[in-house]
Amino acid sequence: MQLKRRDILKGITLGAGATVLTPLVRQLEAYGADAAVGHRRFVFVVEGNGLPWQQIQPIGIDRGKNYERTKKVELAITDYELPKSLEPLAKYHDRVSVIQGLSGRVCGGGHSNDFGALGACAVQHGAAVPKGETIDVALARANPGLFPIIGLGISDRPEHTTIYNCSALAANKSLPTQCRPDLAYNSLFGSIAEGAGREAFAAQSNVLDFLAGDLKKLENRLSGFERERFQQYVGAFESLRDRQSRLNEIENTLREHAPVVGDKYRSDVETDRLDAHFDLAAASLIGGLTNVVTIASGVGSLFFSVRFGGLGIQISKHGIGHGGGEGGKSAGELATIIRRFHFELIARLMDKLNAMPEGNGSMLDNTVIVYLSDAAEGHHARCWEWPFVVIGDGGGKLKRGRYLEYPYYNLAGHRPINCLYNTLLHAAGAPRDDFGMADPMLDKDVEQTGPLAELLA
Amino acid sequence: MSKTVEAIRCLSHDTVSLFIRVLCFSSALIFAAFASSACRGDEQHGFAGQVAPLFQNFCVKCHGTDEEDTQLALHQISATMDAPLQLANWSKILTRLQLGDMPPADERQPPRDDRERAIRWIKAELDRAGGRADAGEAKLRQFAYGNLVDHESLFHSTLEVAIPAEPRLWRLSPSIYEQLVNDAGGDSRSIAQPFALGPGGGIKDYAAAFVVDEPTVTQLLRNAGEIVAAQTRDKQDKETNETVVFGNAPKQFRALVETQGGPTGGQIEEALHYQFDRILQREPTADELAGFTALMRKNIRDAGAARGVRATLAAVLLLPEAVFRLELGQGPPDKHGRIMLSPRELAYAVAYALTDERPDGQLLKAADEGRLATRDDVRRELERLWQDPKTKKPRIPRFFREYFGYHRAPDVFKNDKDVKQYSGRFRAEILVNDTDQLIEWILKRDQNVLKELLTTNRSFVNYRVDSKKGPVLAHDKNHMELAYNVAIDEWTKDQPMELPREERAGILTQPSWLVAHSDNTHTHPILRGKWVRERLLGGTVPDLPITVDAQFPDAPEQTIRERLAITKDSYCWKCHQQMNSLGLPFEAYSHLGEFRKLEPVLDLQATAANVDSKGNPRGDVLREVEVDPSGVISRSGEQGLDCEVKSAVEMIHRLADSDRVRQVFVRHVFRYFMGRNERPGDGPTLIAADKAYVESGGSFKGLVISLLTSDSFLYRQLPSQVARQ
Repeated sequence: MQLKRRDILKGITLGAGATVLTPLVRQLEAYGADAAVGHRRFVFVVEGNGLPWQQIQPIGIDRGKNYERTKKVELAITDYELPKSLEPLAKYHDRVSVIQGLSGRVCGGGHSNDFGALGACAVQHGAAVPKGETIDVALARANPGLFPIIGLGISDRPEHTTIYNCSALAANKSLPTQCRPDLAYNSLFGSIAEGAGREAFAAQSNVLDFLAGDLKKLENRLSGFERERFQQYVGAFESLRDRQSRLNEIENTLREHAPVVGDKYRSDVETDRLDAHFDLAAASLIGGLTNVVTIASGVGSLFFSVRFGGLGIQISKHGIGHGGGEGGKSAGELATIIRRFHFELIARLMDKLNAMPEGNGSMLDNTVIVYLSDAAEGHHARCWEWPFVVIGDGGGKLKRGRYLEYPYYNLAGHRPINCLYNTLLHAAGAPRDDFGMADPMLDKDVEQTGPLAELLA
Repeated sequence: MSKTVEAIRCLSHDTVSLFIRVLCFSSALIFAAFASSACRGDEQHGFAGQVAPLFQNFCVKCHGTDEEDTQLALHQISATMDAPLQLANWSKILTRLQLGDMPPADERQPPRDDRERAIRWIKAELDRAGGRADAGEAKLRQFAYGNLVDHESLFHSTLEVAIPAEPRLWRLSPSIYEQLVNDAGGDSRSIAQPFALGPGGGIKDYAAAFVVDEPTVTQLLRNAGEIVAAQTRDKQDKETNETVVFGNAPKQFRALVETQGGPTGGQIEEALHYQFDRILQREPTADELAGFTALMRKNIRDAGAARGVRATLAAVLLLPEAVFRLELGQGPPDKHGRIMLSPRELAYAVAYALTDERPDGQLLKAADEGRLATRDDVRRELERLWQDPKTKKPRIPRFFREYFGYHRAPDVFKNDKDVKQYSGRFRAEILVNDTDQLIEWILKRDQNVLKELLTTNRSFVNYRVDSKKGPVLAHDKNHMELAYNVAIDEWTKDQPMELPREERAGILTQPSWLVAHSDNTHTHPILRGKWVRERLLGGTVPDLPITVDAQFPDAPEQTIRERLAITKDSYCWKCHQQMNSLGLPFEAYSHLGEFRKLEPVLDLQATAANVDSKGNPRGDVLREVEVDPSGVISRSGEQGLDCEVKSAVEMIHRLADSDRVRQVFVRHVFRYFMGRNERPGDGPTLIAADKAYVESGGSFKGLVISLLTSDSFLYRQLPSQVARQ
């Protein structure tokens, strides 16, 4: 892996695209220097329709009612059995942390907090417009790969190819979630694809070449500041073209790790497509295409009501959210089946990363997987609390295997989700203490900034 | 530390410490340095002649030998600027001089010529030495720093003609891009917006504010693919049930995939003509036809017919005209070195000035037929569009939203317990809608627009017109009329309602504006005063020093006015004197926009005594204190305007009669329609616009058309001329 990355560096020249590429080059150089410990990777698995805290609560740890939760609780999770939803993680028990009691009131709640879930910021409901940068993007900036961030996922409709639901570069600048695994494969592994994928990749390369050349004609009509700004536009094409070349250069690596496109990549069944997305995520991380992946399973106000027919469940998630059961199973039991399936996929992703040696350990050792629901604690979320599962320690930057519980909203010691995101940024080597929007309704005594000391190593 | 040094501390932190250090020298040291450097070449000569005297006369009084931090004394500043630290230091000095915030406003100022000479010398030396000479210029391109351009130099300009901006590209606004997508055959609702406007208040769409960077281009590429996919949809044949590739595409595109052995040159050209017309509203040039034809053939060869054609057609959506407004100019320069925008550029500039749509057929026809080549031509088209009721002109009301900032009221979160009288939910969007309607009502009359906006006691109150029922309460459950102090039984269908004159005066007393300039739980005289200082008086308030934690003291037993007293500390007062006395008159309005004479504060004693039988606290007890709504207009820059005022209404009426306030309004209208800050070279344009506004009886239309037919709008200056400004 290290050699491959050096190969990436080797070809980068100081052409007109240098301005755009410079940050990437520097990050890659930094990576080269830090190769022994490996680059940190982050995977966000966001599942729609809410996550009641009970569904991830380790067995044997009781929680009182809301305002009875006055104390911070820190326990070793390995002393407790994992609940049914998390059972697929049993072999990684000591890497799993469950975090309860964080709040996200500023996001607003509802069926989904859309971009607010990863942005820790207010949401313009209905318009699905992000109000700020999301945490996956912030982490991607700190750990750029050839693809800074890859967004994959499923929506409630199989015809969706690309949706905009949870990740954002900045206010008003949403990032796509690719919903068709076959098309996602083409954009990620098109350089080594055969047939349609290869053709699309070639045509895109031709267009980028053509435009980069054609646009330069206009440069001469501008000067000074205006010219510099336009050069960024031209440079963007050169940079993208350069990425295409880099993908060609690491062809062997990609061939080694690219997933095999099978029926599930084009399946109408949600579970198949989600499974394929996890394959793509693993291959992209292992192949060195990216360091940050967000997998959105039915995320966003407009996309959450998925029917998990592949698990034998015909009722939609919306129906389950309203208490609907079927086949003798309650809504809670159905939700657990679906959640458990997600953790099975997460466990499989972990297996793949664990099989890849890196430094003195494996790629999994340098990876953090964060699981949450965009709808916080329930179907009609209020965001009084927001349960999280954090897996892995990101190369020793986080404490692993913890059960953390924070006091209820506005009680002394309470923390909002912003603090968890600050923690991840600290772990990523890009510390920030004020990610997202502050909750104006939290008392001033409640610490809204800085990382969670109980999680940060 | 001297007073002035304290003032400097309040400037942006990164520049301040340096400036203190740079100016921390004695006169003796200055002249020692001059003497020793006199023989070191031209740059030294320029330094001694153009820079050092300014330092000596206007800076060392405060930054002399008594300055504690002498890390950077004058004798250590080499006029040759050859060390990195020196380059950085000189760059920061230049920024302060360019921004004009040093010496501080209340200190003796150097003559403009002296300042400019020093700026020119430092800039030239920094350019030569490879240092950053553009930091100050970069700030001056931002809306927030527009007022730093000297007001007098604009409205007393002696320039014969305006010196416009250089040729530029102006990224399409998000609204225009949406329109382009829809016109092209895509669906703007299903694609992601690649262009965003920045956060915060003020005029957003500045040409210099945005670059089209790699993430943006990535999104544009993706969108282009989706648009072309929509243009070239396949079709399911009903009889054979077979897929017809490009079955729903225009015939020009379909021919490209249906021809055995690949499309002919003629077919490719026809398709390109169609796509250029659809996307760019023009014919392709011969060069473009050749280039795109070659690309089409290559793509078909590498990616097959359907994929290759789609990729090539998508490339048209990435051409600069589909991403930017071009304002390059064409033709020979006039005697002042200015070139006029081309007819097509003018067609787009006129359309985008008033609408979110691309030029209509008449504009394009006029451009193509040579009837959009003069000032009168442009005026004719502007008049036509302005009068045409079918032409939607969202750019007009948007100006007022961005100028006043009242539309941001829904962004200010209000606590449920504070809005119980509004059925627990404060619908600020209704207040915004009321103000939108008031502005529309004033614009329809188009007389004394600014004065009306500032002083009218009429208001739409929780009002909308239902298509079937006619005028109704905009929302009948949340009682938003209470924000206007109107009881439900006083609400009428005859709107705008007349509200008490002593309570309401124009937009600044509209609940929407007051809420937008409030905090979550209390009023915000600083935000309100800052707005008046900047948007009405054209003043400046330095950036908040990063060392300052700008929070109201946590003293709920005090009024907001009492809590603000802490800012009278000399360290804070340098900035707060620009805001407090202009904002405090608005204490006559609650943070929800209600007029009030009493302000609730915490009654400490009563709260302490409010316990149940077991001694547990039962909650806060409030008492009401009479509001003091007095204030002061100070440092206005207009003779006779400064005075003490008894209320916000009195203050606003006084400001509404001011020439300076009117001119500052003209400056803001200029910024919005030009997409940039005014510069000294725009003086003649602003003078003419102000005159047009006054002579038309305060017509906003007259003002806008004057600006849009000005040299600043119609022309671009060749770069060498711009550099001499």
